[in-house]
Amino acid sequence: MSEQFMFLPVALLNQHVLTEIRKCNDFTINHGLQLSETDIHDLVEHRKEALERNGRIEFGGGVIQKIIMEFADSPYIYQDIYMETLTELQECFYYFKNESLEEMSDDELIHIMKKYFDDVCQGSLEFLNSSMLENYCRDIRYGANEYRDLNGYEDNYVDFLDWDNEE
Amino acid sequence: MIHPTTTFMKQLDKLNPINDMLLDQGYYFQSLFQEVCASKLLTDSQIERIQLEIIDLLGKEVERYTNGESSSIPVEKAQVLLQSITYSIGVYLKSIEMSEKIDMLKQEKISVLFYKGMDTVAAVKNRAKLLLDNLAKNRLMVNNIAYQDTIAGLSEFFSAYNIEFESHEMPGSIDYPLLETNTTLLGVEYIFDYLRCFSIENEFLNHFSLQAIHDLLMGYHKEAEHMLINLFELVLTNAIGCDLLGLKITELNIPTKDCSWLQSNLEVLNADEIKKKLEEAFDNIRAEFNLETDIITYVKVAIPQLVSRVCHNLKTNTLHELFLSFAVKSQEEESFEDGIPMEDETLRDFIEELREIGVISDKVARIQEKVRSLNDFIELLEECFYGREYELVFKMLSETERAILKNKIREEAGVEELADYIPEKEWQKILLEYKTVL
Repeated sequence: MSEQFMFLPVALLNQHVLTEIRKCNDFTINHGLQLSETDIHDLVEHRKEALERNGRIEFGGGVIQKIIMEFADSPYIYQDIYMETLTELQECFYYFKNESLEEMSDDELIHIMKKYFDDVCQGSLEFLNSSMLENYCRDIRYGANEYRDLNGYEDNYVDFLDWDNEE
Repeated sequence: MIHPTTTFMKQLDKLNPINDMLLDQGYYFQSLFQEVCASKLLTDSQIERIQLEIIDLLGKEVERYTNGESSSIPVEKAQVLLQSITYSIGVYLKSIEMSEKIDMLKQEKISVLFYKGMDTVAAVKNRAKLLLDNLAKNRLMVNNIAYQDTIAGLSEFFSAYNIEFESHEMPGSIDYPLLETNTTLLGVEYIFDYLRCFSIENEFLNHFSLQAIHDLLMGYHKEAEHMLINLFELVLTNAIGCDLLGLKITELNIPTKDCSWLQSNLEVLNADEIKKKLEEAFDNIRAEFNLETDIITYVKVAIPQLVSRVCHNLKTNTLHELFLSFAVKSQEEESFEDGIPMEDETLRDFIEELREIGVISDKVARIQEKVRSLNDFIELLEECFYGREYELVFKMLSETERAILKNKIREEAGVEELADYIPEKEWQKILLEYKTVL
């Protein structure tokens, strides 16, 4: 955390998040997903690290709450890998928020992540990270006028396959 | 035995343990908050409340900044937003008494202090704008790029200044060096202070003729137009020198032989005596121009600097580098050489640009900056000015420039004497009558 924030205790910055994540359990329990108190603290700790790694700062409940709610009905997430997946998704979110040069809103990015994760990536976080979102954000950086339509992700998929064949 | 004054000071310290003068004027809120915490003037719960409220407010500002589309932002941007919040609060807190500041921190919500701060910042901005308008109106048409460009560039500050998200920033460009500036200030406070000092200097310079200032600048360096120099310092130094020599202050010229006389008279004095001499000379200038208090205060601070420079130059026998004599004009400098005219399209665009500028002094400054050809200048005179404006334009031109224009009229009319010529165009008529108008 930069010197500017030295007079604001970091613990206070994290206080809101704990409460917000706890509230999500009431919704995700319907999908058989739940976070223990330890998980919540770990998730917040990971959030802090992910933010630091990506040079960002967040206020309020933040995006983890939105990620939890959006991904709750994913067929590829189940209790055993729930915590691990959320940690990865959170890291992925902050990374691609930077990569997209702040051009996408939180909701747009989370929605695209979910769409790719459930469809073309079939639950593969590696595929989501290394190919689909990378291509999507590259298009934004190169100023593509029309960002790839959510329904047009096949283009990205083909890119990936071509690259795979060349290997 | 304890001195009664010491006891009294201790009692004062107890009542008011924070010395406002020692606080960082740029990062005022942070500095005050740290001092207040260190002095235990706030309880732990009050400190925590303030910190929480700042986090809440920063969160809300992030939301407003991103239009509610992002709850996280890059740390660098968050620093800017936090700095803007604390800066605005600081500007408000500076405007009230110390005891009231502490009460405000104890009782008032941080968001309320922030909104009061934004109001205070807006008020300072308005006052600074008035100063700039006044400065632009009274600016000297002196040939120094930094001086002219800074006055023009400062107006960018007012259009680009973002009170809510970047109140501590100073958009726009400031090149012209002043004699004194408070570099610890930030944002609109710095601009206000800069404009205040600039106005004081400008007011003083307006007591001298443009020609004298121009000649002094040429005496300083033939490339003075392009140099980052403080005109006030040069003029004040020479005005003091003139008074010491018993010359007319407004002349500003200190001939080399007089400077040698000054050297021999001053080198026998010590620093205190020199200071006294310079102060007396300034008192005479003050009386001559009937100067106002703010200029007097401003100059009084500058005198010690001048004393040390005089002492140094006396030691090195280089007093002539401080008290300048006007440059002797060579024949080459006196002759006029026309520059390259603009392309038709560029000239048309420039005419359009000038038509959009409302203030005549700005128009003339822009012309002086861009136009290099006499024919272009005459075309601009015909296209962009009318009626009484011509008088103001000619007033802003130097004697030489007016003479060149008159010569051009004479050449085009094919007459020996302009008295024989009946002007066809409005600007020609006004230029030929110019002296009578004055």
